[in-house]
Amino acid sequence: MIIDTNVQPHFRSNAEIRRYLPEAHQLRAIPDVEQQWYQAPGGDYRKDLYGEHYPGSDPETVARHLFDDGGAQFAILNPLTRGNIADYLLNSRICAAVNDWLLDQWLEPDTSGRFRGTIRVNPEDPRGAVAEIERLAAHPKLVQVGVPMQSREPYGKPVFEPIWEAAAAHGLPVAVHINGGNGVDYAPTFAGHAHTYPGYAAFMPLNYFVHLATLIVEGTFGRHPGLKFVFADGGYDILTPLMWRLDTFWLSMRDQTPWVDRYPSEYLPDHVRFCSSAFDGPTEADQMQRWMEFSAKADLVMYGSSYPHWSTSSPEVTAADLKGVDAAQSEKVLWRNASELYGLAVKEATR
Amino acid sequence: MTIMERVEPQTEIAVSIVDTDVHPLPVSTDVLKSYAPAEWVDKIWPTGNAVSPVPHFYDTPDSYKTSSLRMDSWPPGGGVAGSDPDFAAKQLLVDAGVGIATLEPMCDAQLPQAEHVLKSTHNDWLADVWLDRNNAHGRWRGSISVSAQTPEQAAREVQRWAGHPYMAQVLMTPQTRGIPFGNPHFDPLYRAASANGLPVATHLMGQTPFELIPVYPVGNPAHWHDFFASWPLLYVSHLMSLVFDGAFDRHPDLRVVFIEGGFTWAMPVMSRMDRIWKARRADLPHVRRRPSDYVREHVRFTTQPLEDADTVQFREYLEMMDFGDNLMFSTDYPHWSYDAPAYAINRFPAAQRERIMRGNATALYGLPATVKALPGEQPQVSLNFGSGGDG
Repeated sequence: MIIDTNVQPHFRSNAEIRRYLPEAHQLRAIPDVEQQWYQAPGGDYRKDLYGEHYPGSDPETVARHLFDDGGAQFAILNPLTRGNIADYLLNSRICAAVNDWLLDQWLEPDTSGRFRGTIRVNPEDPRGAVAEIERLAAHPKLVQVGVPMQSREPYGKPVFEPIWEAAAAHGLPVAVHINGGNGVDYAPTFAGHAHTYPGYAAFMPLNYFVHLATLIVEGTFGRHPGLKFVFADGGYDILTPLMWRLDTFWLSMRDQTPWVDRYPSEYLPDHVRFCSSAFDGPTEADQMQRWMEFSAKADLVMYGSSYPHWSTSSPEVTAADLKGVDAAQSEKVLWRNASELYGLAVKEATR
Repeated sequence: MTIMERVEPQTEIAVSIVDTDVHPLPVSTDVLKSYAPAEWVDKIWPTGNAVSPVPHFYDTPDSYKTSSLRMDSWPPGGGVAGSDPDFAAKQLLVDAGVGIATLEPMCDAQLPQAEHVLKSTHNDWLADVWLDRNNAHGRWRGSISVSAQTPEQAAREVQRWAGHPYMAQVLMTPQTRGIPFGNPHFDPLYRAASANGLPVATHLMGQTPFELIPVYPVGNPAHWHDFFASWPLLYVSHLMSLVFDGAFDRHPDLRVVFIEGGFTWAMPVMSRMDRIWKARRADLPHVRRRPSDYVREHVRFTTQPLEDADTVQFREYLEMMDFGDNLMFSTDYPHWSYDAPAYAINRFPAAQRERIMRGNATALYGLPATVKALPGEQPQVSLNFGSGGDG
């Protein structure tokens, strides 16, 4: 039994998005998906998937790879947008175009009922983001809100709170994922720009921790008991050491943020999930069980393939990574956590 | 200000604890100024009333009252905490049982030349006040502060102090204006340090111009605790750069010490780098070994502030991490978040204690096995390294 919580569907070509934009914006300059400053040499996506159309752009092919070959029962589609565009109103329209396209090309035509989708919103336009959530939240196949990892302010800052409030009010988790395109962003590491692609790829997912720490310390989770964040690029390998630090320093400073009325790490089970990634976890297989137990990660991590990214982890690879982990925990990671988070009824497999 | 009777130390005692993070301060700005080139005094201290004319942007608990210092460490004879070598020796060496301590003065300035001169001035002051006039016991070790903005000049400063019997390492800020540590920008400094067998240490700097606070890639938090908990990611960034950008291949003798920025994160960061390296070796032709191998060979971490996690769980984590050759005990004396040796020892796995408390620092800095006892000091410090460890 498998639920794949992290799949990036793509337009067949970069230009296809223009069909879904209002007329006034159809001739605007919009970054292509693979226009990141840190594109992987050879392409961001699996080499075998490049063809006439973009990798991950044909619903039937994707369904075959994920469901027929991979054995997943559901897949959560979380499309990229095109970066934090300086014109935040244009960015909101790009998000709306992506949402309309996802419904039009992926979710409405899918009669098998296995794809679920994401409402992409632009946090730099909080009112627009709330309006987009209100526009689409009732759609039964849209199961989460999606925002970029990249931001010029961490997501705990009060300017964003109306967006998270709207998501929680509709019972929609908020998925944070490194975006495509390129945008108005700071350098990706704390020490400036990386000099190599691996230097970028190794560090970038870890930035989630700043969003997480501020969401806790600013009291966002405390005020919105139903709010859940999914960090879709992984990075849960560094969760335990950094949460230990936040717990420790909170203890010295808690009179300054009295609304945080418990250890920061106590917010994790109710509010935080991660998608699995190929870069997380110990390299020694015999350490996996103990490692998953730190911060009770088996309750937090959900299998995500990152399909069609070059680092795609098939369910076999993830299951092999989890080989040393007991069956109940492994089941949580492969489908049970996702089934609970997204309310997906999974038929228990006969094994 | 001297509170202990000054007698020439006689008895030799074994070093059982080395403290790798101690912060001395000048007793007054005027004293520090007396070591600065005359033409720089007005430029570095324009208002004449600050040792390092920079504010805090993220203030530590009760910092208006404490200045981030331990309240009980203000010398009874006057002066700020950490400014009286004799009182520091009493509290840290005699009472806490530290055998040898490395001193890391903290200072920063905005303009490149001012930063160089300020650091060079601190070196002259440290060498005179702490390493010469108050070091008859030979238990203080110093750091050669250098500017990361001007590596050629930093290399000359290293050269100026190389061979000094008590200068143990080079010290530079990790807040390098967007230049990661693996960038060839730093090569002149790394060459000079390696050639003289001096490790390059780095220490997080809170008291610094705002633009030198690292710009967090997704924006900066508002409060000290979310800011400070995230700050180790600056060291993660530098460590990844050192490995992926080939600094350890260019400088096989380079040793780097990350001070006060945590170390438990090094386990996931090593496996993360190993996994990426395995998947993308074609992008890293110059990285010849597993990234974690470089870290284990070239990098040391100081232990304070230890995370306040459950002790048993914390020890299990450290056992799993198997990092006993890479950690060096530190107190951060006289700062408020001081880790006492007796508290720290208990948190390390029994099999790693001796290395963390003494052995790794002794090997890295070439420290002696015994030192001269101070008046009132017990010849044997009762630290049971070998016990089962649940005390």
